[in-house]
Amino acid sequence: MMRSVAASFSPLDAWIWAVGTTLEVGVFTLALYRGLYRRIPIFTTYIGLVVLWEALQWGMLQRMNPASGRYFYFYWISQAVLLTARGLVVAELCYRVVRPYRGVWMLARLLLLLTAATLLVFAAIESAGAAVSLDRFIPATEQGLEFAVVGSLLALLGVCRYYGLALDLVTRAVALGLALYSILTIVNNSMIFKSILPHFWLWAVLWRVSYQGALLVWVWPLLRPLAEREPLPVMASAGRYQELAPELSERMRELNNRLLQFLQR
Amino acid sequence: MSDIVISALIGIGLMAAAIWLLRPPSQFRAALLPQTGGESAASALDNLAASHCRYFPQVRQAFSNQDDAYLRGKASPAALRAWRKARRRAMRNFLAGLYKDFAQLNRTARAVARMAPHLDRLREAELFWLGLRFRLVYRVAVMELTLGVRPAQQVLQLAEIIGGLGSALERLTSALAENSGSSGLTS
Repeated sequence: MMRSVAASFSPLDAWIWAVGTTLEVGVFTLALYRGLYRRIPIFTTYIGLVVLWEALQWGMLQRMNPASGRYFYFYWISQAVLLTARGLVVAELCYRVVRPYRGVWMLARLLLLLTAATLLVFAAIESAGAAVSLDRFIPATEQGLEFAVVGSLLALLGVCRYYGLALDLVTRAVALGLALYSILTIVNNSMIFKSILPHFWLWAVLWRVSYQGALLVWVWPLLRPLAEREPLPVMASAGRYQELAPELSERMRELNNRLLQFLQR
Repeated sequence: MSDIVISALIGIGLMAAAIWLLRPPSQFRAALLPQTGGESAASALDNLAASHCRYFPQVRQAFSNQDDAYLRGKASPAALRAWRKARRRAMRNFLAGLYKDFAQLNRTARAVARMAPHLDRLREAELFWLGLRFRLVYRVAVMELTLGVRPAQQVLQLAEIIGGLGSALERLTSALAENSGSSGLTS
């Protein structure tokens, strides 16, 4: 995914564009070849959308000035669509990884929704504060939304870590790539507020390279056949949890109290 | 320029958090993950049994005040200092082992929760808070021991408290192993 930041491309720009497009097409082709769409269809669709967007952008640049209003709206509306798609990919990961564990899913979906909602409200407040000019409004909005993507992703990974939910290689790679891209976007957009102009070229290169970094992370597990899907976990009886959980929490509560008493002596 | 540095630090912090959360599970955690090769979860759950709590009686004997009183009259001041230092180090190691037992209890709770069809939100929140608080308070206790603020006798009392977990943990482990056989804790 590339941003048109200059009317004319330097050789380095052209080279980065070529590498990025090759990687995008490569990842999409491999995703189709390996049957990734059967496992994570939204992610596969997202990669397909990026390839389509790249072709559309190329066509637009052939016919119009990148500084024109039409191109501006095309660019930012398509960015909004891609960002929404990335948000949906995070939701897909949550659903796919946590849902088989029914009890954890009931608890985690509330936590994940709360995290996403809080970060979206935060993004809306930040955007409203920067609404004085379009120059500031767009990066502020994008930054807030990328924060929501990263925050939700970290919440998902936290739940998986806490309950020991297994993440396969592809899921790990998708999560890492999304995190890498969104975090670099946040850092880039933080710089745009005050001092983007003196570092504009560097900013544009970083922007492109960050997505290429994500593509490299995604292509890695697709180079070999996908591992067999793990069978769904069989839940224990509800009574077992009711029986064991109070015992465990009682023991841990007692231990904590004793430890505190020990320190207060 | 400071804004750029702050942004970079935020980015590095977020990336470090993502990588930390994505790192593969340790050997112990892996034992708790759903098995795929037909191996029974019961064998993995055997590893949960408290190991350090079992040695509590021997450790209590080794750390008793009688030895200290005996050596005070017999050994040179230098030898006594060296002995106390070694005893303190051994105590720290023993506490670290007991902490492992606590961590096992905590992980057992999560393993039970993972396979439960319904979770009690309040209880899960409490377990999370208890685990977090224990870790924090425990580190303070160990730091005080290292600095020599805590007398050995008090640490022994703490060890006794944690040692009491042993039987509970073993009982829970048997219950889980039984559960894995009857209702398929394996996937």
